[in-house]
Amino acid sequence: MGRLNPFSRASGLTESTQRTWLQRSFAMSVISSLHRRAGLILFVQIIIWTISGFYFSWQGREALTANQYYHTLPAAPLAGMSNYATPDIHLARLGDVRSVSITLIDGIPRLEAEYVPALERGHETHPQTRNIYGNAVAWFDGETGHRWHTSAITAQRLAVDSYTGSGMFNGIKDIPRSDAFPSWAGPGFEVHFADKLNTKVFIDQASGIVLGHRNDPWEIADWMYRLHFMDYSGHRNFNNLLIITTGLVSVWFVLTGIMMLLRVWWQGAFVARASLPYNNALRSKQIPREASASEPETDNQPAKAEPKS
Amino acid sequence: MRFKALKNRKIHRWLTLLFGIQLIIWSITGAAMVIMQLPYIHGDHLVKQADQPISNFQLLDKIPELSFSFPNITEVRLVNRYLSGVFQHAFVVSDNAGSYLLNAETLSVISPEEEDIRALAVRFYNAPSSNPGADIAEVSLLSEEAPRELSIQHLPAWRVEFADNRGTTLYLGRDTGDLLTKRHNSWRVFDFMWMLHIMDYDERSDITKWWLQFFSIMTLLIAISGITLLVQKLLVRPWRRLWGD
Repeated sequence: MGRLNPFSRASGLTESTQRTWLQRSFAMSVISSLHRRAGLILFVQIIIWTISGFYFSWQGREALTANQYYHTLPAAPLAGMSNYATPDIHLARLGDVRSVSITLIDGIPRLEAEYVPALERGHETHPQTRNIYGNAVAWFDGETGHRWHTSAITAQRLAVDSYTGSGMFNGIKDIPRSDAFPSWAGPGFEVHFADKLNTKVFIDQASGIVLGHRNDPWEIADWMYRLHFMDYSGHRNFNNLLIITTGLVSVWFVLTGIMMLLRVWWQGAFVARASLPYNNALRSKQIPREASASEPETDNQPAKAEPKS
Repeated sequence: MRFKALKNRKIHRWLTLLFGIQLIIWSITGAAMVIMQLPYIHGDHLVKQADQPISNFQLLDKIPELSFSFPNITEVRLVNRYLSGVFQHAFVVSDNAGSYLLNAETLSVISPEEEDIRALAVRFYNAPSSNPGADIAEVSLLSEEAPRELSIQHLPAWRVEFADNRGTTLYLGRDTGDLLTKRHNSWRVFDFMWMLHIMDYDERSDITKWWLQFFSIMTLLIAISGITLLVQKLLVRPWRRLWGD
């Protein structure tokens, strides 16, 4: 690009036709054009990024996860269980079981078995029940020894236990799955509370796990997520091709912007007040020799013009 | 119109000069973070299963006895874990104070030693194909202070560093030998970028800092002034050229 100096503008222009293709590519007109074209592609998304980013910051993590009225009760001691039966046969049928844990869910012992799934046996596990080792999970009732099955009454109690708001219980319905939890395969329950946020609590039927809360402000946050990450399916795919491509274009956009800024800075565009002593050289009709780029710098002479008093 | 364009250009330049640095940081960190695949950043490839299959489910019949002997326990987990040089069944028991190990046969407390942790870490560690013989570089016990990359709620814990080019570090529970979390250099880079992106330079988790909101508004103004320039360049000027205004 050579020296970009406001005082060498005339000499720079005379040789424009003799530049190599590389020099022409880095010419400011090309960079400006690239910046404008990238801006044309990006301008809607940049506004979306800033607005959605501001919304995330303004709302905070609690509102974004719909946890305004969410809390977790301390786990109940196992000493409180009345009956217990180990589902030995069911566990043995799972095959390669790596861990079995027991907790109390609504006063009933629930066993959670993590196992390496044997696909030929026809065990169906949902993707969200796999851990990092690819283990599947199965749940059993520690009172009956059978597979765990959350009843509507238990689901209602679990939902009320997870809720700290002032709203009253306002109904429960069976749901096969829900868009509010895209990676959850269902089925389960949706429990409604009559509060100003219109809170809904989601419970998984196969495990009795409280999946989480959802409410009206979360609907806005969900769309902000979709727009921010350009994942319009709502599956929270952070690494989709569209966002990666747009991210790269945005880097191109800011880099060309930086180059343009450096150019106009060097040209003296950022002059706050002409009366400042710093700007004496710019106001002066006589251009100091030291500041001219056409003049080769010597070792003894500073390149910048000294401000005159 | 020309005057307006000049004014907008000046506003755009000044706003970008003063507040554009964060837009640059957001663009670069944002692009880098979406390119890095999340499972990779989480380090799922760093570890493999260390516990063996459970061969004796009758041990679960001891749960009522266990809950009678230890009335405060809230969760019991049966595992087949490598302890004291052999695989043995053990209960990982949790109460409000924390978690610890019990021998599943005798219900006596097991306290893993450093050698047990080393042996477990090697079994958890999934060595890279480029460096299959990577060994443990350093093991240290964290009791009071956690490094930035480990939540303080995991303490006390063992930190096991491996001598590989990924900078793999595994954190294991002091009293259970459970794998608490895993970290590597890419995670650390990602975490640094996340810090720059959300502008929380201390805890790296608070997204509600006022300066983040301030820079968001300034960036929006930069974008609006830039769009105005684009409109002037792409619409107004050709319109005037067409109609000879």
